[in-house]
Amino acid sequence: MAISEIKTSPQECELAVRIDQDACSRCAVCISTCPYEAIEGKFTQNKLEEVKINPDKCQACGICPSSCPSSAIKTVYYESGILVDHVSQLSIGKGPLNLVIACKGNGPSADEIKKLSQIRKLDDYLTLRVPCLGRVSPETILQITTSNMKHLVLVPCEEDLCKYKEGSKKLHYRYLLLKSLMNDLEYESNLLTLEENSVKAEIDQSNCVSCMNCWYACKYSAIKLNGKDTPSVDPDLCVGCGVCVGLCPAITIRMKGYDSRQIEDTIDSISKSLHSAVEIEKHSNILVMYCQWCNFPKLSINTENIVTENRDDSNITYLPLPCLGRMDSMHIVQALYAGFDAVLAVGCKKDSCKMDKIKGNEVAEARINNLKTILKQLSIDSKLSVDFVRPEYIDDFSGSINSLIKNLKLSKGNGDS
Amino acid sequence: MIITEVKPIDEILGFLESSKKVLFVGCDGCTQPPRGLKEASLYAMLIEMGGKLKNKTLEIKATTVSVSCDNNLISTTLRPQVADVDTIVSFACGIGVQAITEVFPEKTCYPAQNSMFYGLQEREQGKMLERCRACGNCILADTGGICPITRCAKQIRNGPCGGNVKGKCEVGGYTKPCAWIDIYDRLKSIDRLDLFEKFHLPRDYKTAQWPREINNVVE
Repeated sequence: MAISEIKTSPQECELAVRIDQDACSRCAVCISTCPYEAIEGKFTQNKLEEVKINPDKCQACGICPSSCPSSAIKTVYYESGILVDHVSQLSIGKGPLNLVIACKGNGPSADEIKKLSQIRKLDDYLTLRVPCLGRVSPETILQITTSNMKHLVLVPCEEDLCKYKEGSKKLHYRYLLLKSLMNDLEYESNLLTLEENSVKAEIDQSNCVSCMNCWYACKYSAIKLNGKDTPSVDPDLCVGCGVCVGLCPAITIRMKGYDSRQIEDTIDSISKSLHSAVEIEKHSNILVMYCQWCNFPKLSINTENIVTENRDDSNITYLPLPCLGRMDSMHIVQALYAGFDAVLAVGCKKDSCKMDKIKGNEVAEARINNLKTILKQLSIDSKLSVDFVRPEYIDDFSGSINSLIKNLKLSKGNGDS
Repeated sequence: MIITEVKPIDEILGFLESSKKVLFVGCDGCTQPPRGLKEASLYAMLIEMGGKLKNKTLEIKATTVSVSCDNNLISTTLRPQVADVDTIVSFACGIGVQAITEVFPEKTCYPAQNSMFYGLQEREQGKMLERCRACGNCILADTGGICPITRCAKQIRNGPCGGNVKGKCEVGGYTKPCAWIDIYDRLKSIDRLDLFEKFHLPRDYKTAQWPREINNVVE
């Protein structure tokens, strides 16, 4: 999965973000921008000798590469050059483009983007999803806007709800800067626009049974109790982790883009296509539910988030979630029921959950352990596995999937003999 | 709330040996952990999968009712859905199973779970704890709000007995707290130790003579 063009030497290929010491001008901008204090300077006699990234603290948000004035920080995910190339490839033979760049974090569904584009009267548009718009440097935006573009709409998260703390704010500054710059250069004012969007839970009052489980589970106090009425979600406090959506026993909490019905339908339609395909011996169908902060997949022109990858030995469907806390036991059972050979849930490592108060990865782990005891009764608990990875190590996610496939092959091999 | 535990999948499959079309009915009422629509659909899929492993084809639908202890409600919400099924499996407590059987005598209704006790949910510890046995003879007013019938292993109404060591009960190997020591501490803290000296007559078993019923309830 990981983009691996930048692998230069074996020592460096492990990390997703690294500093090219030869190009570094020791300006220390990155040290002050990093929201996680992961960049450390080494001083000798009050002089900045070396700037280093602490991989334990780094969350691979991509804010430092986009703010480095000398482009000395390299990242394997959505690097400036790759983004510009991608957009120019998209526009080949299409004439002037309408482009929507959305943060994966706020996960606007294709429908929402459509609505957005209708407001701006864009008939034909392309969507590009990046994990955090804070990783898009102003030069990249300028390059993209000025190269054969009709409209560019940026869709970041609401400022307070950026999962990388500073990403959305950074984009706002850059947006204002670019706006005034482009005004000076006499570009059209509606060439570049910005629209905030954040994914929120929403209680469908008609089916709510007032069990109050969501109220207890929400550590952000976003569930409001309304006396005798059913509870509701306070959109100002909801951070969109989806933990309540995953636990609601009446399946009545909705989340645009990650709705239960929507995920059910997707699993259903994918499983149907799996069955119609010619069944190859020892070919396994795998559903990977992953937290969108633990892995950043390749750029794709798909407007929807869900991607199926066909390998020689397996079909892997990647289902991103706003946090692994959104993972729902019912969807796992549904996937197994629909004929998937294995379900893998991948979340962030213990302390790197972006939902600091609720710890979605731990919530999901507890749910999975609980479900495993039930699945054990049918001896299919081995079909469900969970793993925790970090995007800072680029082979972590793909390694986790490869080892799963290996295990599957082994168990299938044993079954045949 | 009524605390329940789902039966093993094999046991439920055993009930459904001669069934073809089954309706799983959740209950949004007081059952804890929640056994609503999600639980019913989840088990519907699991049981179908379990059936497949045993070469048995089952067709299972899942639905839910707001409360299963209301004949009227069950009749109105379930009637359209039970028309084409031969068996109903209820995720409610024992009351739900019996109510469904009474309302739809032509169908068979099986329990999907064991009703355990009346209790409370200790969320932080992830525990369900028994708190009431519906003895029909409540003395909580005299015991500082701690029920000796439920929380004392011997159900004694005048305690403590000699079987406690450092406030732990001998039943269960000195792991659980002695209810009567708890009652003493509680009464002391609210300065009502006079209640502790009050003698309670033996429990009136007439009030818990099964099956109980209460007449002339007007709402």
